[in-house]
Amino acid sequence: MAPLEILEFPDPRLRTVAKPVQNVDGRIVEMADRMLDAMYEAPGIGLAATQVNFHQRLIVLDVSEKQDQPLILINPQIITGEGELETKEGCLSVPGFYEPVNRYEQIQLEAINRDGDPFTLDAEGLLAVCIQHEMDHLEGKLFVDYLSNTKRQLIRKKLQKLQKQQA
Amino acid sequence: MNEYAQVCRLLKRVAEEGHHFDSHFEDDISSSQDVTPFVQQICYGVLRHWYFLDAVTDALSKKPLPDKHLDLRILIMAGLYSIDELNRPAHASVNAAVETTRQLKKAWASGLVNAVLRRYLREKDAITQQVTNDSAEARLNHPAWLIDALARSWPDQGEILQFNNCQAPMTLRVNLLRISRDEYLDLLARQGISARKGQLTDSAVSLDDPMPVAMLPGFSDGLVSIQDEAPQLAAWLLAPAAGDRVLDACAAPGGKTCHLLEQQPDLHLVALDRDRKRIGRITENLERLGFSAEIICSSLEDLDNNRQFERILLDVPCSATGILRRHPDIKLLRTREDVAKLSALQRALLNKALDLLQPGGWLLYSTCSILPEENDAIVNTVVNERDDTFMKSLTLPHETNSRYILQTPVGWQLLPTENEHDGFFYAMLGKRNK
Repeated sequence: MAPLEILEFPDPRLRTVAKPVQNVDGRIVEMADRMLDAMYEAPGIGLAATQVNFHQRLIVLDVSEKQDQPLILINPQIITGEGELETKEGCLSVPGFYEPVNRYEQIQLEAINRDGDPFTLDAEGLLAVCIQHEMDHLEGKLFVDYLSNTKRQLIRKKLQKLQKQQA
Repeated sequence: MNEYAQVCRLLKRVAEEGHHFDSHFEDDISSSQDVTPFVQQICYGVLRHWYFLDAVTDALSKKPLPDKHLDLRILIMAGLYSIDELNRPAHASVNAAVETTRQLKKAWASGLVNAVLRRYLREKDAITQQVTNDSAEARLNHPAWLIDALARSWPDQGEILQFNNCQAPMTLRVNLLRISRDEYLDLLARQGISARKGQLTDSAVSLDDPMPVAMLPGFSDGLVSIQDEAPQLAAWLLAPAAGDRVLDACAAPGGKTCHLLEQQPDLHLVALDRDRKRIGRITENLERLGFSAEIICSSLEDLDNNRQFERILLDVPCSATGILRRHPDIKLLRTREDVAKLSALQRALLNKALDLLQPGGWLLYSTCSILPEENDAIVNTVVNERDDTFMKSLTLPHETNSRYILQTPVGWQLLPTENEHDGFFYAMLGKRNK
């Protein structure tokens, strides 16, 4: 099967609000696996379904050093968030740019796993940041929305230029 | 007069006399004059970043500039904007601004302007940080009342304030009577113009880079018109049938009037507007596209209720808060009080338009506002007041889950985007059969 194409800012499809997954069926699991492949291939540490133009609430992550601990979150919901952490974030849909963004340092969330079972997860640090970043995608939100206008427009213009050259 | 002096003169009329800058509005000051692209660029830039530049000017001035020197304040703001945004050495911008004091007959201020702009060059980062920390107006480049109103109405879409300060794309409406959208995209591609399809309608094409209208292939022959994608929804939603009597009740400049005819040329269409000057634009647009309609210059209130229509498009005068990307002067000109006045007018116009609607007919209410008091609230109030009117469900031509297109209890609210459509509102009302 062809590898998934990752949409790039400012593609309007990245502004879609994803719908909850109704059934964790073979199609969803297959999509999660293909997203993991695309994420490792990129390489990246997180990918939301929105970024591959699939608009259901599904994200995949792996923040481990060896990239051997894949995590699939279906219908993730943050229950509590605490603390503040500013890190330089990047995004496979905004390639080449890294900018500081403020997030919760610790979160607790509920999600469904690939077997369709609900579970809760406590995350902190990089994993917490990454989950929040990917969950933003499901709302049609991008990390560049947190930046100053000048910075966001600069990024947009540079990416559009690159996209044009590649087209 | 040099270009910076022209900027000062034009923007002074906006800030001091409350004139609109561009030709979208009745009292515009720029379309009648020979305004160069450079002057346009600086004027739009200063208007988009007005609150930030104003705060920086205050922070940089030892003594506050008295109101009578508004032209000097604008000159400094234009200088600051040029330093930040123009692709040329900063000292060239400083020199041009200093030089302009003489043209303003305020040569005594050349030292002041020079000192302020040079201090900005030295302390730019610190000053920027200071003013954006101190004031939400400077940080977001919106007036405080609008920041509050938008935060209350759209708490999850805070980034739209940033989008309001971006340049909107140049969007075209393809005249599907004459050419298909794919064929027109081919025509553009053959001339090396890169463009993309709109997502909301089958008629919209957005250019990746703006270009002069006259250079668009087929423009003078009526193959395309300039229109954002959000207002293009109007004709798709109202979708009158052949032979319908249709009223476009606030028609100038005629973009939606023409679009209605492109979709269904066989209409008895009345285009009404109360403004004599702008009604000429309807005629121009109709002629370019080869259409005709009955044009009436009158207030809606004066139209005889014996005239009844099967379909009415009521695009009411509004705060224009959905189109700040294209008309940044609105940020300076609109006040909270204006919104209350406009709401009263909108309510009156909707009531009158419903009187003109034939039983069984439909009315599409639209605004380019993103304030619920001009949208949901107006429709709700009027429907509750009248026994003969009901809300109809409204489906968009293409299903969408965009973060910036929200279904409200009454209709559809489009919020402004970074690089796509403007902010707009639509609701459909029906009139009961007797």
